[in-house]
Amino acid sequence: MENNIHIPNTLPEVEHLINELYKPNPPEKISQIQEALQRLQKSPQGWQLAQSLLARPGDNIKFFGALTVIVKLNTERLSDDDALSVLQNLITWLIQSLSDGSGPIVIRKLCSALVAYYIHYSHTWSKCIRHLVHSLDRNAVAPIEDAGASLPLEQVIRELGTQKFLAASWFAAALAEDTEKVDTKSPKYISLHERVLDNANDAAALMASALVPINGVSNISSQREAINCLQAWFLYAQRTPKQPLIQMLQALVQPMINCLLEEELYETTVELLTDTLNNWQQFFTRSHIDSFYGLFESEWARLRYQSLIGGDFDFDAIQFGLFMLAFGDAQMVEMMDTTDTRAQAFLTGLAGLLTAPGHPAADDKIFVPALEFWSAFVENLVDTLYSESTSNLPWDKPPLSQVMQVVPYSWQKIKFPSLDVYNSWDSTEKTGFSDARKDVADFLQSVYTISGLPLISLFVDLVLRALTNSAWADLEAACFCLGALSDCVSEGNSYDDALTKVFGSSLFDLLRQGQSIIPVRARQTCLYLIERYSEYFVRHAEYLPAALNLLFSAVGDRHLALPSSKSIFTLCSSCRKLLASEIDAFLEQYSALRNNQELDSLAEERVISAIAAILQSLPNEEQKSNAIKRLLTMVGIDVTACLQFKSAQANALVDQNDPRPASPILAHEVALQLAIRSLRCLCSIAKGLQAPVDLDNDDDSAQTSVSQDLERIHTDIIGILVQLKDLFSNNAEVVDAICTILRAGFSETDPGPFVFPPHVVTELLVSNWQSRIATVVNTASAFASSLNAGRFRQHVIPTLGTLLPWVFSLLHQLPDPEADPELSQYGIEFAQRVLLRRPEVLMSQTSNVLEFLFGFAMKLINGNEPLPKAAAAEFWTTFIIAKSDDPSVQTTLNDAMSHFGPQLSQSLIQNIGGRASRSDLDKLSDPLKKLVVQHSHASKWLEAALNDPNFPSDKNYEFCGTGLLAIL
Amino acid sequence: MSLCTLRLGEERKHWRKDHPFGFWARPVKNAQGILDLKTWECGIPGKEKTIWEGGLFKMTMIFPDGKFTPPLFHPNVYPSGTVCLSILNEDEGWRPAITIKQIALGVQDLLDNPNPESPAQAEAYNLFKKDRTEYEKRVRREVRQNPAP
Repeated sequence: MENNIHIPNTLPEVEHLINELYKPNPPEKISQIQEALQRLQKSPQGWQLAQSLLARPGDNIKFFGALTVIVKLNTERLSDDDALSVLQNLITWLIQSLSDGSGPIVIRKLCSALVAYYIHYSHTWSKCIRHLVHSLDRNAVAPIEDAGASLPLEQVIRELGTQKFLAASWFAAALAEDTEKVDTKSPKYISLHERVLDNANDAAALMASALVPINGVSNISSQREAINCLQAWFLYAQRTPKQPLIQMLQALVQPMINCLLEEELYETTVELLTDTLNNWQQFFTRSHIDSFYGLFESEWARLRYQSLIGGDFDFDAIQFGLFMLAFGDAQMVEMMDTTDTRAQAFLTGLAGLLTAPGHPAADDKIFVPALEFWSAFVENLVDTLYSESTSNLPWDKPPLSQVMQVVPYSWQKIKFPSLDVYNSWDSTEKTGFSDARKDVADFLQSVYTISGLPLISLFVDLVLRALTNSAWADLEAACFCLGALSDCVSEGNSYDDALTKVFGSSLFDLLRQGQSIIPVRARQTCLYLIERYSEYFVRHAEYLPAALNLLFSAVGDRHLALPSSKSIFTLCSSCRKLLASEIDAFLEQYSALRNNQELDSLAEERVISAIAAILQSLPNEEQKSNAIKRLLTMVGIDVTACLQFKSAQANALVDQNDPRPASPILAHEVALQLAIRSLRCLCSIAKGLQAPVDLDNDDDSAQTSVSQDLERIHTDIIGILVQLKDLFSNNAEVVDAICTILRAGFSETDPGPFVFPPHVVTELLVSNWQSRIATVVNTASAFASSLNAGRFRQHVIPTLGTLLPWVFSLLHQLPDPEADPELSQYGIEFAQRVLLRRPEVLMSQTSNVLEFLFGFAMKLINGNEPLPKAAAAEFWTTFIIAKSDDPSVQTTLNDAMSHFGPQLSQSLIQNIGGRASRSDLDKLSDPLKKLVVQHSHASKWLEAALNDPNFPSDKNYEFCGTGLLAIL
Repeated sequence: MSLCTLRLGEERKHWRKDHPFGFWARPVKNAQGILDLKTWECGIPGKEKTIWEGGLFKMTMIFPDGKFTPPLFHPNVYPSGTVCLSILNEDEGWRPAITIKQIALGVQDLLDNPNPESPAQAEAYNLFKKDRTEYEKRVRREVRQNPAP
């Protein structure tokens, strides 16, 4: 940007510019002014300028003068004599400013300038605080040697007026703050830090004089500054923990605690104490801890505590709660000690923090931090119990009795408010509340580790009581907590009796009666509870029908469709064998559901997948086929409707009377939606039918024969796929869905409705597709790989015989290899997989084809598209290490290697030498490593590549070329 | 206690005290209920006013690597679910002091701002580059399948 502001020549011009700088101006103007002024500051006249500005009236002007001194001190090196005269000036200006009514910004900036001086010239001003205080007292710069040990510092400090005391405090605070930022490890500054520590005693004396007033008269503003100054020294001491300094600060803790009682000092003090408890608990001594206990037991604390848990969430009140929590956290070990009555009483107070009125996050601001403490406390307790094997703490004695108090407190707090109240919250409050609920769930899971079954029983009782009282918010919260505990209930069924009380209660009946009885949120949570305990239903089939009936009744409700369909899927999938005999009822349920116009598509997919999972477990093949046919018939209705709409005129609108769409739309759009729906349903069926992974399959006699029934089903399904593909494969979703349906069968070991004969799959794959051909190629690649493992092994070669030429011709049709990066990537990945498993099949392609393929892979590795480039690198790696037992294949491989070796070497070297981006290098180094190890000519080829005139740059050659040659 | 566990214990403390809204992250528990501090489960919400809004995506963090379960449709998520985040890359932005909060926020930011320099899956990457309408449609489906509570 052009700077339009000229560099001023006269003092008035500079002053004008400084005043402009602090006026509201557009940002670009401000930065131009800043630039002009900085140039002046850095010029040789900078010192002169600073001096002149500090002599002028106006806080901004003086401030800028002090700033200029800082800039000068930080950028120029002075002789000690010159430096001392700067110091003299600075102190003189400070004294002057204290008497001429300059504002605090000037005084503070001058203090900062003094610290900047100290950082660079501490050897000339070792006893800086003592000297400064002495000079302030005298109202003139004292000789440096006067500020020795003989100076009665405490007396001098006592005699300083408030303004001078504040200035000295600001200096002492800035000294700790600014030197804390200077690297303590750097040799250049070791002596600086030693000198700072030498001044710590004086700083402590300064603070003590305000915090422990000798004559009993306290001065609030001095005390506040002393605490601020103390904060800076605390931070300094944390970073440079030297014993004498720590002791000096420790001596000031008791006076600080006394300051808490002073209303006007409370905020500053409580913050410092809380921070220090949080971050540096080792700092406090036993006697401090005792003082803290004393404080918390005082009337002052009792009033503050009462006001907080009475619902006062002002800043001061919250600070007090956080202070308590920080203390509890710091004293965690003591809090776990049953015999320490004082700690246990305090712990009870911490439990009480959870009882403040209002909803967490939205109203109650102490709940979340207090619960954090309790979670940490319980986790520590668990650790201790396990490490010390004293696992028999009594529940009715502290500290477990307090934990058991916290459980109902926290449960009470996460009840949802009425809908009106909830809707009145903003999104932050809603999220905060829902986070708090998660925190409670987390806390309960930790408690469970210690308590086990009784915790489950507690929530079971709460659920039952809520049911009896029709207290729906209670029911919701209790179900939420009970659900959260399902994560912990891993093995065994010792909890089943407790759970039976809930699942055998009137809960399901009431839920089925709909929203008029139990509000929607509670219903959602109850449905979630069923899902969480799906394992229970595997063991207790007697409650399964009621649960499923309830869930099915909820699928049609748009608020409940997703949670209930998820639960249906989980239950049906886990209990598939138990439900096998009920398959007809399920099919009917689904058939009825399909009439619901508002049925959510995701919910429908889950339900149909759930039914397919049950179907998968049917023992009898004939039953299975029949059930599948019924499902397919239902899907077929959509397909037929779809075809009808599709055959309508291009611009035909759907009949208003048709129940499906809500408003008139084009017939062919309805057709497409119906096609997608049918295919997604088929996807869900195919996925549901997959054999579960963890099923104990001790049935060795893997079945191989395919019944006529199954053949017919295959024909039907493929018929649908082909029809829909022919009409709609210009739509990406359609192509994706068909490919997903095909893939679902690839991993299956037994025959099944979606495990199609290989030639059928091949035929479909290589047929005509109107879009997303890359997805189809990727599917083909997965298909070919799957054949290697399964019972279709003998089909590998004929299948590849069709698929490979098809893939290569697709690649061949590309105008250039990066025209469709996805296709190129999947194509080359396909070739790579074949090369890895069946090198003889790939290498038996005609020489033209091979020439094309290798050339294509070469272009990709030289290209810019990252994913195809990585795939090509992997292809070449596989090629370099490819071996065959068949001598003729091995010869072809060797010939190809000799042919492509030099070119490949050149590509790799150029890529690594600078053409490839950093993120590609990992992948590209693989083939290079293999080449070096595997091939005798590698060294020659790589050397030639390195010496090639096209090698990216000499600099890179230095960098990687020489190193590489050394390795070779 | 190893240095790593100590460090991650601190992470746990920090996360408790200060974590971004709508996120959750906690170490997993073993069968005895003891925390495995090296493995965390996190929920990453989609940012407001983006196509990811309303989703909550589950990620397992084996510190500091993140993996979405199930794998997420996103240009920088590998088909295995592993997320390719530049701040996790030693050469780009990784520092030993990086926190779980920074990683979680980084992943959230990545959702709507994919890094086209480090593609990890072909489908999402190519759709992102070439067919934004279809890409957004797919993202919305991801969101629907992983709704925030």
